[in-house]
Amino acid sequence: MIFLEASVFVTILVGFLAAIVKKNLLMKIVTMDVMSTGVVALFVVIATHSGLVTPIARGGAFDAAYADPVPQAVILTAIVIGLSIQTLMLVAAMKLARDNPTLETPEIDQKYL
Amino acid sequence: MTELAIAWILLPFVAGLTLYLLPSLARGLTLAIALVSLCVGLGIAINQVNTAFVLLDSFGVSLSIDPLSGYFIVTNALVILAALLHTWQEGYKAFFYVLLCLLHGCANTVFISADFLSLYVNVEVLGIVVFLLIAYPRRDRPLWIGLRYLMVSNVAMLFYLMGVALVYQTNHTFAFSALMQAPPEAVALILMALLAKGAIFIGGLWLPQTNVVAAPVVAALLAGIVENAGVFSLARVSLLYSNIADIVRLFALASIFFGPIFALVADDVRRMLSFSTLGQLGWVIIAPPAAGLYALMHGLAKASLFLSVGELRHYRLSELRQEGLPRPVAIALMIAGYGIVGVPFLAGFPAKALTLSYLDPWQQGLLYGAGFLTATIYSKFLFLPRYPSKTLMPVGYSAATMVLLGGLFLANAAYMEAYGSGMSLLRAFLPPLVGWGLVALGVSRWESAWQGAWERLEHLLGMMLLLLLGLVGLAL
Repeated sequence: MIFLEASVFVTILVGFLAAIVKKNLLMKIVTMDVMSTGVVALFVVIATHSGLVTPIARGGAFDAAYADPVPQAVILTAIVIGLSIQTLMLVAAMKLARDNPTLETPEIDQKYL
Repeated sequence: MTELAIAWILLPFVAGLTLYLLPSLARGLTLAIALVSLCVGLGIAINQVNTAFVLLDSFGVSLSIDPLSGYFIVTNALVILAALLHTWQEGYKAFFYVLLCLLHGCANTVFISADFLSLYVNVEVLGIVVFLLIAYPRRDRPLWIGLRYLMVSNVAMLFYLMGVALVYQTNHTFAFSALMQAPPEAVALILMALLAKGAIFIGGLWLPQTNVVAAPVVAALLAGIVENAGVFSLARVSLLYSNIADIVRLFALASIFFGPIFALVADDVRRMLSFSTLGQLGWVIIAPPAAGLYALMHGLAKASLFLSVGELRHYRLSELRQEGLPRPVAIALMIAGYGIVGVPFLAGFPAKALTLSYLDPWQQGLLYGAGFLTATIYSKFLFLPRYPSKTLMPVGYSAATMVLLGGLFLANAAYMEAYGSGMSLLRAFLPPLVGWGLVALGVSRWESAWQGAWERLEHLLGMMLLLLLGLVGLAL
């Protein structure tokens, strides 16, 4: 379990560092997706701290240690928001690619800042 | 009460989507929404409404309405009203007004939300709306600046979400009140994201170029609403916990000196104003109980400054000194600028007095010193040559300026006690005088078009890491 949690944090960190290191705009957008996947996984891992069983009662008493449904439910919102932001960023990158075919961020920064 | 609050929250969103279908109603509906929110905000602030409720059950959305939210809501409504009047005859498409309505709705919800998750959702939607507003002209430069903003805000909010996950892990709730029992790294992550979104100290370096490239009306919206939404939650959290308030105060102090120093050497008027914004946002959060009045004053004055600057043909101070500027614009710039400096009879004076009254003597001294810097920046407007404008100023601009400056004057009523002592009145006139003297002596010769590498995208992301490390150190 601790291994799982550690890899989640590593995923987030790798995503963030790659967002700084990678020069290409598309790569930057992808690394942000990696980071957001890490955050989503973090919520899922936290949900399993109380147990692993899905909390659905199938008649009779329910006494198994079940996974916390709240983090899983709220992270859905974050996934949807993340998806829409990714889409917007990709559309913007598409528009920018017309005049900056290489999509190298340092060059774009120099040109437009 | 609860039903009314829900109806009021939903109103801008419903209106925004409706006017997308019925574009001819766009301006009318936006006007109606701004007026409704103005009444609601004034009602909350004047009647000192203090109520909190949770929608659904224990994991539902928790909202809390208090006079602090009232002030922010009034600012939001007035700035939207001014933006609407300013664009009334300029032929903006209905889509622009959809964005205005959504911006208004998200900001209102930020101002009353009391749990981390509804704050997250609203701040994210606000970020998307701001991106669309900046990129509205569809040219490459605004598009890139908008994209840069979206990326910075996206990364900051992912860190925020990590912090929220850690808060939930320890307390099994998302309420603001759970932050203290949370591990220090959660506090650091959440504060870092809020500092970056609220444009405080080095987290706010995305702001200057964003204000330069965005259309004047969007820059006014940024200064009047979006940044207030960023710093509001910092003020809320500081009000709850004194040790978090100490950390926030440290960053606020840093920002109060950092912003004006760079504003002083900026050559572009818009960069000067936005660096000054960095400093003023520090003032907003340094004394959370006074944050409402200060944010109201700063939002109105800065929005008016950006709208006025939008009427100019040149933006470089050196060119303005040669070409001059139309007299009405110059007068508006001076009134709004001296409002921020804190000259009596404008809201800046009571706002500063109220803020200082919550601070320790050494902090009061530091802030009084920072006041001289601010006064020097805005005294530059006095030295620009003015010419009588041959044509009338656009009606939209005049109406918007009337609304903002009128609000700036009427907001005095919020803290009339400030005018009680003659000593403080005298003290308030000293910074503008010294500022005037310094500009006369030639402070302007340090202006340059210098622009640090730290405003590039990679560096903005790197700044967040630095902020995070600093905050972890402080929170431990």
